[in-house]
Amino acid sequence: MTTSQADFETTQASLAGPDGLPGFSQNLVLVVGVGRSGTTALKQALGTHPQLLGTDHEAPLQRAIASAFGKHLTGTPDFQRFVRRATVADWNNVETAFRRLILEASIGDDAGRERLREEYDAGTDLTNIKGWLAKIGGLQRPAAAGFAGLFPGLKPVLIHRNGIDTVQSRTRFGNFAADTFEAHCKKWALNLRFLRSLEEQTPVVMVRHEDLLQRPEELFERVHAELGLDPSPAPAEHARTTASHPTQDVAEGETIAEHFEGREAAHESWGDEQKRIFIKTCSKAMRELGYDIPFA
Amino acid sequence: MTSPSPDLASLPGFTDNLICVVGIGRSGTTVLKNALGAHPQLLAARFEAPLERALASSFGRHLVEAPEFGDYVRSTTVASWPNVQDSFRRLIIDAALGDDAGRERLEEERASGRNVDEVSGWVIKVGGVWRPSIAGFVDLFSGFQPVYVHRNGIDVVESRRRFGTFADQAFEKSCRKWASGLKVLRALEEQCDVQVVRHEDLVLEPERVMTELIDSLELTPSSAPAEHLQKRSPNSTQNVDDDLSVAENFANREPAHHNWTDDEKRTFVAICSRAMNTYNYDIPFA
Repeated sequence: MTTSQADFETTQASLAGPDGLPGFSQNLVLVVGVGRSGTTALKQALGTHPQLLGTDHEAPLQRAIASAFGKHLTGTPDFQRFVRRATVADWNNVETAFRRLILEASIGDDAGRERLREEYDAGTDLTNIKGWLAKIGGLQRPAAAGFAGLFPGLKPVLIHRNGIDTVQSRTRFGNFAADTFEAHCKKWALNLRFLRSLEEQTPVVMVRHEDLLQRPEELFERVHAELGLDPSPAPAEHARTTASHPTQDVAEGETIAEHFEGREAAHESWGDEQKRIFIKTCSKAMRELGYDIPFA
Repeated sequence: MTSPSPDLASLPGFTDNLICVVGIGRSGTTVLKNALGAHPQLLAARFEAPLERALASSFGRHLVEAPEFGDYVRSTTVASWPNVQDSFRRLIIDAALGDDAGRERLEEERASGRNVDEVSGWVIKVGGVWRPSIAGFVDLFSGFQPVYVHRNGIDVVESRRRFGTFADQAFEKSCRKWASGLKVLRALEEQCDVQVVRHEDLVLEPERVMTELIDSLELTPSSAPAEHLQKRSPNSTQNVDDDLSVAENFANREPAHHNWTDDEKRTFVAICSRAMNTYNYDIPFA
C-alpha cells in the first residue's frame, strides 16, 4: 500500500459515524425547486463551499427511496405501528440501509469511496466536510418525511423564481418544452406544496432565484449562517460567474446578472388565454412567494 | 477457523425465488401464505410486507414511466446499477426475514428440525400491489411469482367490518376496497404470470387447490400445505367449533349479508357487481 493510499484509508476511516457511513452523510443539504428555478446553479454554487460535498446529478431515485421510507411516517399512527411491527429487521439497521442506498445513489458505491478518493487526491480536506448536497425538482409529504426521518441533520433549501419567468423558461427548455402551458403553470404552483411538506418536518432555507443572480454575496452570507456553515466566498463567486443551463447564450464579457436583466419581459409573447391560465393557476403562489403579476 | 454461519441469501436460488401472495385483506392471504410456508422448499415471512412493497414501488417507478424517465433515473444514479439492485433486494429480504438476510430465522428453522438445505424460495404477502411495485418485484427477483387470492365480496366486506382496524372503515369503503382487487389482478396480469386461487376452493378442497398450485409454482409435491390448511383457521372473525373441520365450520356459517340493510345491499351492488360477475360470484340480493 502506498503512503498516499494508507493516508486516504486512515482519513476515510476517521470519517465513519456510528452507522458506518461517513459522519457528514447525516447532514444532507437538499436543494428543492421546480425545474428552471435555478436549482442546478444553486447546487453547484453550494458545492464549491469547502464544507459541503457536492453531487453531479439530480436525485430522482433518492427521492423515491425517501418516499418509500416516509410513507409510513405520514400515515396514521396505526399504519406506522403496522409497518414497524411487520418489519423483521432491526429498525436502526433498516434506517441505515435506506441512508446508505440514498447516499450511494448520489456519490457512488461503497459509501462514495471512489468519489472521496478523487476529492482527497485533489487536495480536499475530507475531515472538513460537514455535509453533502443533493437536488430534486420537487417533493411531496412522504419524501419530505423520509428525508427528515433518515437524515437527522437535514437542511432543505427551497429555491423559487418568479413564476412568469419559470413558466416561460420551461416552454423553451429540453424535455420540459413538450408540456402544455397549463402544465407548466401547475408545476410552478406546486412550489407552495413543496414548501408546506418541508416545513412540516424542519425549518426551510428560502432562496429567491433573483437574489442568486443579483445579490449572491448577501444571499450566501445568510444561507451559510442558516446552514450552520463557515463563511466562504466561493459559492457567491461561482454564482456570479457561471450560468447553468441558460435558454439563451450569455455574451462574452456579460455578467450573469446583466444577462438576465437584458432579457425582454418573459410574458411579452403570451396570449390573453395564457395570461388567464397563469392568473388562475399561479396567483396564490405568486402572492405568497412575494411576486407581482403585471398583467393581473 | 470456523466459517461464518450462512444466511438465507446464500441458499442456492433462494433470494430470486420470491412468491408474493396478493389479495384484499380478509380474502385468505394469511392462511395461504402460511400454507405455502409449510412446503419444505419455502420459507414464509411471519408478517405482511408493507415496507417491502413500498421499496419495490420506489425501485419500479422508473420502469413503468416513459422510457426517457427510466434513462434519466439510471443516468443520475452514481452507484453501479447492479449494486443498487442488490441493495434493494437485500433491504427487502431483511425487512421480511430479519437482519443479515434472515440469519437468525435460518438458525431458528434449523433448530426446529427443518432441513434448511431444501429451502429454495420465500413467501411474502401484501394486501395489494400496483404497477410500480409489481415492476419492481419483477425486475429485482428473477423468480418472482405472484399468487392472487380472491374471496366472495359479500364475505370479504362482512369480514372486514368485524376485523381489527378494518372495522373502522365505512361499508362503502370496504366495498370499494374489495372491488379494487380486480384492478390489482389486471395489473399483475399485465406484467407476469399470476396463479389465481379462490378462497372458497382453498377451504373446501385444499388438497386439490394446493396440489395444483404447487405444481404451477414448479415445487416438489408435498402434502404439508394442504394439511396446514385443514387444521388452521387464522384470524377467524367467527367462533370456530373445534370438533368440526375448517370446511365444516365454513359451511355452517350464516350468509354474510344476513344483517345488511337495504341501503348497504344497494351500495354493494352498485360498487361490486362487475367484479362479482368477473370472479363468478352470485349476488343473492341483486
